[in-house]
Amino acid sequence: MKLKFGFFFIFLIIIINTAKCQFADTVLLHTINISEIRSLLFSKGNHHLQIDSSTIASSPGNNLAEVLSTGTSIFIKAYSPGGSATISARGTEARHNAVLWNGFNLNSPSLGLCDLSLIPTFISDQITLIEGGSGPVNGNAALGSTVVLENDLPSFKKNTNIGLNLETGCFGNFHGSIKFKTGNKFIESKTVLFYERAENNFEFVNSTIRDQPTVKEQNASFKNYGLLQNLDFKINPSNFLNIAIWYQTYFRELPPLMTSTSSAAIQRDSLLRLSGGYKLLLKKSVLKIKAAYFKEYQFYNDTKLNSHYEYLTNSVLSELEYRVFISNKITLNSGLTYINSEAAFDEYKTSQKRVSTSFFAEILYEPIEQWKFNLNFRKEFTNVENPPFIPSFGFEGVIIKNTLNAFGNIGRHYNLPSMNDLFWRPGGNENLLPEDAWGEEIGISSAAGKNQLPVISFALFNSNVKNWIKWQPGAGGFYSPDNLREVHISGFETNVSYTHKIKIVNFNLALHYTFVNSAISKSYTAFETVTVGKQLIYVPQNIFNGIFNIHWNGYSLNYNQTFTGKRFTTSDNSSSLDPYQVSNSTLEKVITFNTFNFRLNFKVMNLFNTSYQVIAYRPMPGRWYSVGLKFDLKIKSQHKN
Amino acid sequence: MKKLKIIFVTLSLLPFIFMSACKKDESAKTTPANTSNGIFVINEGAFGAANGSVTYISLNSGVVTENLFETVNGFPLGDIVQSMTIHNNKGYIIVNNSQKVEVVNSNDFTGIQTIGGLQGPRFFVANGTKGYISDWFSNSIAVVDLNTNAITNNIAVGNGPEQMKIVNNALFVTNVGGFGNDSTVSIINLLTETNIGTVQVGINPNSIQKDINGKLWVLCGGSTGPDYIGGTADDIQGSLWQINPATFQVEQQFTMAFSSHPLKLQINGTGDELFYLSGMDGYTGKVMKFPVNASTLPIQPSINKDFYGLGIDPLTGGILGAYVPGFSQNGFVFRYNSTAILMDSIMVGVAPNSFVFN
Repeated sequence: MKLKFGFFFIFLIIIINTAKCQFADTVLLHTINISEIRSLLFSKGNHHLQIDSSTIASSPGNNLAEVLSTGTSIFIKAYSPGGSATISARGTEARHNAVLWNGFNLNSPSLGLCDLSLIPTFISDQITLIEGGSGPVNGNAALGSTVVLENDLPSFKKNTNIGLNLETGCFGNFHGSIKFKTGNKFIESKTVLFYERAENNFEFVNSTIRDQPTVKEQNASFKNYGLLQNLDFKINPSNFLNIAIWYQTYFRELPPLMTSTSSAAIQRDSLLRLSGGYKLLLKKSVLKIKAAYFKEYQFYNDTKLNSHYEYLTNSVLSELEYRVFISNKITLNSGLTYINSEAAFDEYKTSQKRVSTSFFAEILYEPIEQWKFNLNFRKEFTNVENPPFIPSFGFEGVIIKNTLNAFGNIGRHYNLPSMNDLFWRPGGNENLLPEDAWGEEIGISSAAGKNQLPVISFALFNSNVKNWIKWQPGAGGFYSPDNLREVHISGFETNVSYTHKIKIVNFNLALHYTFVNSAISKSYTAFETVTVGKQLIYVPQNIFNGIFNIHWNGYSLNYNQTFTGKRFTTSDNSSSLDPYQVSNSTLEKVITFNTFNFRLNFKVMNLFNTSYQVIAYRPMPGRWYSVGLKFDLKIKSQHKN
Repeated sequence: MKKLKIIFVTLSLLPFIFMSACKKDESAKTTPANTSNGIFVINEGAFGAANGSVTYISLNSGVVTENLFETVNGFPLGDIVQSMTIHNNKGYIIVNNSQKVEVVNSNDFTGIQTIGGLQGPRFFVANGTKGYISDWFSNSIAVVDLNTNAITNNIAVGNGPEQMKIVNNALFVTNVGGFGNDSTVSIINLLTETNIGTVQVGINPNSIQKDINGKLWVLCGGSTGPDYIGGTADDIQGSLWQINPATFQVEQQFTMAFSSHPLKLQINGTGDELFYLSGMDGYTGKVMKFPVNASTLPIQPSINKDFYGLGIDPLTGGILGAYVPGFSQNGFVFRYNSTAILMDSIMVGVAPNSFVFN
């Protein structure tokens, strides 16, 4: 083990020295390779999907769950509007997907996953979905996808920007947020304040009770408020500092199953996230040091079931990263990540701690123009177990100039059981084994030419996961995790985007489709053999999503449709939920006076009034409407800097 | 322009392509079944999944009908189908986490009425025109007028009232502890509908039977302790108690081996042999047989397989074991003859927990 430690240190030293000696002279810096965060720069073999403003505009809400289910073909397991929601990309479970904010993984150290309903999309300027596995770069477990939330690079120009967004809709939906951005040549500040609420007392036909009456959803309201403060400092042209504060409280009622008469359960999540980063630009290298503190609190209470719990987790995360531009062809990146998480829950026997130190090394090699290769490594050491060495390899390149590109990646993933998996009482299983997986992907994409041709990408993916951790219901209403011997995932994914312009009319079309088989391939016990070869529960084989957009003369019309295939609800596939499709549409008018910008929008959600359930017996609203007003004001400085 | 046309056509067709893929089957709602000679298997389903069901095994034809209630009545039973009791040709199906009782005709399974107003119903017994429902959350027994199916009274008992037995206008209620512990059997005078006292038994009594001699037998599961794990140092083992229902006195007591948590006490048709499941986890166990006149507890199981539910055919003495391979897949029923020789196995719904013979 010590040997491996040594190897990494030597590697680090070599990189630093190479940078110092060999490239004393100023050569053109790879500006992209400096600014691009390592998640994106070193995952060239993965398809990156930028979540654009039209996706956000046609989404029924503002959290990451709603936006991803509007504009991608990944499955979002959403319990109710405003309810908790987790991501399942390419047949994986929530823990196999990472959400990164300022480069830090937001997956809860106790649950091992992220509740996407707690992430407002407007806190960041850009959202990028990295499809497929990128374990060594984005955390060992990121087998399905990684969502990268990042801010635009600060411009350090003297201007001020004020944005106000107000939306109101059926079922007591209200959203209000203010964005204030200001700066000069040394400092840039962004402040976001937000408040949202909804009653969600929509009507639905309760088909699970006698006479199937139309009833109102009850105990389903939520309230969400918080603030984000981001500060960027330019100490001098090569020294940069960033500080961010994110505070949020999300209170929600948890509605009953359709088969229950009532619910009195509530949940409150409060979180505080602080992050700071320092960036030093050297002649041919970049040094980045960052640290964060996350405090997450969850309170759950059900007066009817007489159960309650409280979660408190404290995490310190830090990362040191050193990037060297050996030449125009080679970029090396290496560093270490340290994470210390403590969780104090009533439901654990004692409070639990997870300390992890990882060394990583990443290489971007561009031997010839428009061919890029990534080779990445990670070695993690923790206080519970030392995962093995995790490598990955990816490539991206041009096969036919301006016509056809290819990409692909292969990598190992290793996932330690989360603290809840091990210690939650009742149900936690201290004998759980870690998951060990290999994932592969190969794809082609067409290049965006001048001829207004559609951009198409197509990827085949495959992965084999040993000891897949699965929470299953058990006796007495308790859920408990166990290892499935092996799960095999295979499928394909295709993305199409097309833009066409006729005079003043702009057309945009984006289509996403995923087909996935995700099934147990080997079992430990004889009775599990019944489930071998069967699709895992709540993994739809087919997901289609399309957005069509027309812009003209300050108007824009948006149509979005998603189709979600059959989801099995039992592991022997003896029962399932019907496929469903939901359509949303938005009409927007932009009015611009000078530096003022008004946007008025009208949205229709669930246009065809489809009655559907994402999760069994969790009703979803029928057709509903909202109106919104966005106001933007830019104040530019009169004097040039 | 041509290209644009193609795109528009494709786009406008898309919704229809997908819509045609998910046409709904509108099947007839009420199709009565003949359920007058067979076995109902109660499949509780997984908590929160609302996939509880009843499987019917016809003894006339041998045909197995899955999901009987929904097939006949057009709507699902609900979340955690806890138990079913037949009284005067009516089946009273208790759906615990849907807080209701579905009343059906026990000979064709057509629904009659839904009894609501309950919090956490568990079991049902009846005497003439009165029904009694044990309720975990309210720690009481709801009295139901079986002519109107209205709740007429609530009688407070101990923690987590579970199974019940009626002997001579006295209702004996095992208080299993609910979310905590209890070690009493409550006694209710059914004429006055009042709680007249308790009998002290072992910790967490979960089931009760009356034997050929008119004596009551109460099986106590013991406790797996605060760690919820059987077989650890904080365990309290189970026990079997004999109560005289006339004097309310304990007459015999048998203590199980350490870390044994027995459950699902059954009795054969002649009333001279008790059966129960004995295991460590508090939820499953191997089949044990105890003749009511025996002086010691059995050591060797009659059937060496871990079951979640147990039933004894009152006519043939055949033993039925409900096997749960996992709560997210269908379970199985293993049928044995009266000498515990395996006859066959049948796939049933999710998490079979008990049997009702009609």
